[in-house]
Amino acid sequence: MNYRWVLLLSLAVTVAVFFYSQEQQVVKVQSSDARGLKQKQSQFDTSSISKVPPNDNRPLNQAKSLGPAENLKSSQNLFFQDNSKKMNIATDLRRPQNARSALLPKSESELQPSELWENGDWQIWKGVRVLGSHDLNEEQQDPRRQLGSFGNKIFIQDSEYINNEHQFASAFPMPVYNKKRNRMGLVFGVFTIHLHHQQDLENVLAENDLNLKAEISSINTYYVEVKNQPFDLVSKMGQLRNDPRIEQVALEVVSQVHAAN
Amino acid sequence: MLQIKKAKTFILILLASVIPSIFFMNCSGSGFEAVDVFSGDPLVGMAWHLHNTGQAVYAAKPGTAGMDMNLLKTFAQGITGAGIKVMISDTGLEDQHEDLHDNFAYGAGSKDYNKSFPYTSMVSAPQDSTDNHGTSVAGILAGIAGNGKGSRGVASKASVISSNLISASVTTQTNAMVIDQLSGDFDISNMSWGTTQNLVDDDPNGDHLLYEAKMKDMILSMRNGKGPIYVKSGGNDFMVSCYGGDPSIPCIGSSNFDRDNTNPYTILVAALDADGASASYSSPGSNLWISSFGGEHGSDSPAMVTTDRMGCLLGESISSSKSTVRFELGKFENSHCNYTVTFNGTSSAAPTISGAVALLLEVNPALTWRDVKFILAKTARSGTNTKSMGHPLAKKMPAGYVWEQGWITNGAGFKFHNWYGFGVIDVDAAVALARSYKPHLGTYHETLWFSSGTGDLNLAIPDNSATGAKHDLLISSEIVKVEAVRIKVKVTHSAISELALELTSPSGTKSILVNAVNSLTNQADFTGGEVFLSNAFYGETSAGTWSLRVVDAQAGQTGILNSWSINFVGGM
Repeated sequence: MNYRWVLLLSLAVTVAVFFYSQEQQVVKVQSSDARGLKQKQSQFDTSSISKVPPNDNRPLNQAKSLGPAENLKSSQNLFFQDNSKKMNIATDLRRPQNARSALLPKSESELQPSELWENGDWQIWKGVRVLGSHDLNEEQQDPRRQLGSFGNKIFIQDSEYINNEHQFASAFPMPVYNKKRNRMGLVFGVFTIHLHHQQDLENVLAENDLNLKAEISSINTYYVEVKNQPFDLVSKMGQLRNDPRIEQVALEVVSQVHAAN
Repeated sequence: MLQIKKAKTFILILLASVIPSIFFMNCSGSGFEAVDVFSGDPLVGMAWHLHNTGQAVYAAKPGTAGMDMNLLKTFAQGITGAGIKVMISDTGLEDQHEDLHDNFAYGAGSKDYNKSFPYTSMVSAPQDSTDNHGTSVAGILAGIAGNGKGSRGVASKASVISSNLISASVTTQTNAMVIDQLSGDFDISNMSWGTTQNLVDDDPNGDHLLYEAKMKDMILSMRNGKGPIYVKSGGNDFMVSCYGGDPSIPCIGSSNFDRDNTNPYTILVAALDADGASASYSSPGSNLWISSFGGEHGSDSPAMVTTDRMGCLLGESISSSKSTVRFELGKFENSHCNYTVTFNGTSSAAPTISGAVALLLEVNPALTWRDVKFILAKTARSGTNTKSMGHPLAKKMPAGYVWEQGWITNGAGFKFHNWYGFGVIDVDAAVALARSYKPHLGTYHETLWFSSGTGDLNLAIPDNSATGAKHDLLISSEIVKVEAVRIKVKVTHSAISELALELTSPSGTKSILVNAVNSLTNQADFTGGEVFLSNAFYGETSAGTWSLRVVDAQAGQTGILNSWSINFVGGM
C-alpha cells in the first residue's frame, strides 16, 4: 500500500472542504419561535384596521396588491423595481400621514400689529389662548373650543383673552401670524443675540437678567430667555438693542414643530 | 481478500480526509465557522430587516426573502458597534429596559430639555405617557444580542445616550433646543424626527442658518475633527395634508421641504418595506442619501420588531391596544408587553443606518463623516428601473413633462433616485470597504453662493408648459468634486405648489429638487431664503455650466423667475 497517496488524497479532500465551507458561510438562524408564527398567523383577523404609528391617529386602508414588477433578473435587481405599488397606494386616496389642517386665522380682524416687528411681518393673533395639552380645563378639553394643536400646545378660541406683549410669560406662548408667508408661529420669549467681538457673555446675561438656552459661540450668537417673568417683551427687546455689546437681536418665532417620524 | 483490503484502504482514505475537515469546520476565527449569529434572542426571527427569509411576522402578507440589510457576514465576524457612542435624540428612552439597559451609558452626555442649560442629565427617560418613540428607536439600533430577550439591534454593543427634544413633557420646544441637541459627546446622532413637509421656510430670523452653523462647528470639532455622523429620518410625508387646505385631501410632500434636511452634513434615510420597495409613507427628495428598512404597518405587511416601554400599561404594546396584531396586546411571546412589531416609519429606517455606521466606525475609527457618506453611497445597492413616473395622485402634467425620473446614473457613475437616494444599505459591502478604505476625498470646501446677479432676470415661466423658464450659470472658480449641491431661487408666483425646480449639471445629469404639484399649496413666492439640496451630482465636477429650469405644471397662475444662486460642497 502506498501511504503517500493516501496522505496526498486526504490532504486534497481536506483543502477542498475548507474552501467549500468558507464559500458557504454557514449561519444558523434561531428559528424555534419563528416556527410557531405560521400557525399563529391564521388566528388573526386581518380584515380590520391596523394599529397606526405614533402621531398618526387616522385609520389606514389595507394596501393594494402589488402591481407588476419590472426587470426582475436577480435578487439584486428586485430592489426598487415595484414603484407601482407606491403609486397604487397614492391613487387609492389614502388619507395623508399627517392629516391636520394648518392653524391659520380666518380674517384680518383677528390680527393686531405689534411693536415687536417694525416691518409688520408678524402680527399677534387675537382671541386665541395657547395652552399645554395637560393644562386644559374641562371646557377647554371640548374639541369644539379647540382650533388645533401645535406640538403639545393647544390653541383655544377665547375672544376675551388678550395676548399682551407687555405682560408676557413663556408658560403662555403668544400666537402670531405672518400674512406674507401665510403661516402662524409661537413666541416663547426666546431671543437670539449676536454679540460684538470679545464681549463677555456672562456679564451680558447677568446685566440683562437672561438665562442661556443655546450657544453657537464660534459666531458669538446665543439663544437667551428672560429669568424673571412675566416681563415686557417690547421693553426687553429695546433694552437688548440698546446694549452696546449686542450687535443684533431677534425675537424667536417658532413656526414648525419637530415631531417623531 | 484483495477486495477486503481495497475496501479497508478506501475507508481509511475517507476517514483520513473527513476527520481533519471537521476540525477546520469547527475552528474559531472569521469566515469559516458555522456561526449561530442569531442565537439567544427569541424574537430575532421576526427581524426581517436583519435577515429576510420571507417571514410574515404577524402580517397578512409576508415580505420577500433577501430584502434585508445584508449583514450576516458582518455579524458572523463579531462586529457589534462596540466602543461607539450613539446619541438618540428623541422622546427620551427607557434606559431600564431589559434589552437596552446594559448598553446605556449613564452620565455620559444625555440631555433633558426640562432642565436648564446645558441640560446635562444622567439619563433622559420618558417623562410622558406618550414618550414611546425613543425606546423603540433605540431597540432597532442597539438592542442587546444573545441575552435571551427580545430581538437584537444592528449595533448590539453600541453605547447609547439619549436626549428628549421631542418629548411631550418639553413644553417649550424652541429652535434653541433643536440647535443644542447637535452638540455633545457622541460619535453618531440619530434624529428620527422632522417637521411637516408642506411648508418651506425662508428663514427670516436665520434660525436655520444657525442650525447649520452649529452643525458645521460640530463636524469640525467632534471626534477630534473627524466629525460626528448625523443620521436623520427623511420624513413620512409622501402624502401629507396640502397646506392650508382640507386636511383629508393629500398632496405629495418632499424631504426637501424640511429645512433641517437641506444641509450637507446629514445622512437622510428613506424607508423600504419588506419587499424592497419604497415604503408607502417615505418622503421623496433629491436630498436623500440612502434607503433602509422601515416596514409597513404590521398587519398588512411586516413592520419592525423592537423594544417598547416595559409593561402592559405603557408604550405602544399595551393590554388595551386597539391593534389587530395580538402581539401588541401582550399575547404570545410578548406577555409583558416589552416589545412591539408595528413600529415603522423613516424613524425605523434611520436607526438601522445609525447602527450600520456604528459597525463601520468600529472596524475603522479613523473614518470621517465624509468618508462614511462615501462608503454608504459607494456600496449601496441601487436599482435598474429607469422608467419615469407620473404624478402619484394622477394630476395631469403638461405634454412631454416628466414628473419624476427613474434611476439615473450621474457623470461620476453613481446611481441615484429621488425615492431611494443612492440605494439600499449593504452592510457587508460597506464594512468590507471601511476596512480597506483609503482617504481620498480631498480637503473639504464649501463654495460661496454663485448667483445670477444683482439684477432681476425677469424670466417669464410659461404657464402649464414643459418648457419652463431656463437660466444658466457658469462655474469657473472654487472648483470642487461635488458632494452636495444647493440652490436658492427667487420666484414670483402666487401658487408655488404648481412649480418644479430642476437642475442640470455640466455632465448632463438632471436632478429634480422640487417636484411639480406638491404640498406647498396656499403659499406664494420663493423669496430666495429657501434652500433645496441635491445629492444626485455626487462625484461630478462643479466646473462648467449649471442650468436651472423652473416649470409651471398647472394652468391658471403665472410667474417669473427673478434670480437664483447655487453653492457646492465637496473636495478640492
